[in-house]
Amino acid sequence: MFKKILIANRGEIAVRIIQACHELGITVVAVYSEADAQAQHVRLADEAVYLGPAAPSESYLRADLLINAACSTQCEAIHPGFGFLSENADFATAVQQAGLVFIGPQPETIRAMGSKTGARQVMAAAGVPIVPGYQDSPHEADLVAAAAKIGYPVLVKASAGGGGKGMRRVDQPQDLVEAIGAARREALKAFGDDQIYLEKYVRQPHHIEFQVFGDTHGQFFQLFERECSIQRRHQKIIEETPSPLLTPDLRQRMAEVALQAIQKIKYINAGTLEFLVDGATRDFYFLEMNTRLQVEHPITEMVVGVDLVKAQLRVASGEALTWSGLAQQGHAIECRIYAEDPTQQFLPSTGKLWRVIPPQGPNIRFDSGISSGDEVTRHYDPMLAKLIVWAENRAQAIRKLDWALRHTVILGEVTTNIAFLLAVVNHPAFAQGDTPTDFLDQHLLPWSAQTELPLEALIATALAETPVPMVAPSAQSADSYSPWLVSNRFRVGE
Amino acid sequence: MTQRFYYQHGDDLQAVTLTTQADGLVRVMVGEQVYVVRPKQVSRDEVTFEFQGRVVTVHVAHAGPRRYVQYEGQSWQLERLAKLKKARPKMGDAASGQLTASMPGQVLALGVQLGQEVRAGEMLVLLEAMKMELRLAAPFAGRVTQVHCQVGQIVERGQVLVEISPHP
Repeated sequence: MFKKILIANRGEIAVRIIQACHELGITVVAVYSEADAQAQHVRLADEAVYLGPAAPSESYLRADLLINAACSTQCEAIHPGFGFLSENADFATAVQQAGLVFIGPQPETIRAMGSKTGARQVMAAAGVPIVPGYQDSPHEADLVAAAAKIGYPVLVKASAGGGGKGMRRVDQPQDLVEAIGAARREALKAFGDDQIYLEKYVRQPHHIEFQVFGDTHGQFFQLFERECSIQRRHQKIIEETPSPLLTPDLRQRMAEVALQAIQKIKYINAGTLEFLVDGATRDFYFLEMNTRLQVEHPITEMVVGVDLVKAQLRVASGEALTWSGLAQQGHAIECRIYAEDPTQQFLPSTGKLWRVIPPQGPNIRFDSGISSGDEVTRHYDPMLAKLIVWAENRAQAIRKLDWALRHTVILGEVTTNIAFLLAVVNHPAFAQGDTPTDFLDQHLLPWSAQTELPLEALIATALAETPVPMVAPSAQSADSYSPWLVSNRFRVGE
Repeated sequence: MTQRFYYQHGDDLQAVTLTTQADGLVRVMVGEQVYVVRPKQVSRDEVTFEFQGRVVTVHVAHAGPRRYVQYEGQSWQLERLAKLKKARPKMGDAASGQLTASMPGQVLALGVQLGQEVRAGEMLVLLEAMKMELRLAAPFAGRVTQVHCQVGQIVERGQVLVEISPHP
């Protein structure tokens, strides 16, 4: 097992990885930009190295600075987290060339799966069904003709893409060219690569992905599925497992396909195969493979009873995984809490966080990198936290999630999407498990919440202007020096 | 003892009067309506009280005259006023013809120039922030009366970028 590693990431996932490392006795080096100098992940690490100004291009995306930081602090390995350079094959190669272990798959695998079009080819060759699409030519005329052949609606997607960026749905032929331009620009900015391809937009689609793992002792595992269909503009908001859509038979077939695929490509460490499942026909198609840990990995951890980050560390350090009898138990749901304003088209929100109080209770998990006093800036992804619950069944999990959301305190200049999440979680269609990827568009968007101030909030604000001391039971004491008999007002909690 | 507070939320003004009774209950008047609440724990940060048969907890943060309030997962921003006065119109209301940056970012493109006639929905400014492109479009047909930004400029939240005035 490693003695010391560097985490090339920030926020919630950096905190998560620190947790796993410390449980395994691994010393952790964190990195931070100017904006993150007081961040939680920096405080929790054993050492921290300053990278540069806030912009990712000057800090978290600087492969050279990251590798230097790791070498100069005598680290043995680098964990890339997700996003940033986690799926950058050049970075993985550079890490290895510097004599460090890259905690993830081999660079060649990352490269092969990193091109969405390349991955489709590899999977098709491995006998995995893929979504009808077009990737042969980047020329406008060819794309227009191909889109007509696939049939509208089509999706324009970034080859180097992920996280929904650089993706556009096009319903009418006349909108295709503009969509291609916008997708290219967004992709260039987010990934440094403006290649795009076309894909059929599957109706009633469910986005269902399978967690997979391979180790260096020839073992391959699948850890079942995650249903990720509650999405807004292709960005996941709510994920759950097991998927209400899968029958045991369909789950079995998809699991076998996933297992065969990673055996064929000899996949090492954590990965996820994303599929699109047609809600009506139950046909499934390979979408893409993510060669890293996913944001929504906690729901798998809670339902299967594993620690995926520890497993990543074990595999990377050469140990054999000792899992057996992996099975799903109960139901887990995660929702992503974003710094955004659902009443303003979900525009990202920035500003000070005065107070953060996570909900607490049995089987309630709150993964975040934020604390009271933090400043949310425009430089990074606006996800503040992940709220995950586990219960014996789906109905109980939904009730628990509702409770936990209502008891989450994120108070500050930043607005969050919690009110929106509550509306989703309490929607009758969600209770039915009827969640194709257009769920939000169908039922809840455009969002126009009542932002009227409830009486409870208004009254409490007034009461809080002059707090009064509580009268304790022993105020009846005969002791004339008792502090409980002091009658002048004092303020608590200041 | 009776206390009176005034708050502005968005365009709404509220007057709240609190009167502490001998039995420890508090009589609350919001506008014309009267309620009785039983405070259980009151501090500057957190208030727990009995209201209409339920026990309720609300979190409050203070910053100058501003009050950030959270209840049941949702939050609101209020401003405490010294006295009741006419509510100020909300800043940067697009309906007023002022197009503002809703968050800090960078101006990528300016679709118009001073004096230009624009149609409703026409793109005025393209902003980039948090790895996304945002289009600021004209809320109505009119003429560009002010341009307060240029391409490449970093802008702050609430900063007025372009002003248009409607056709008479």
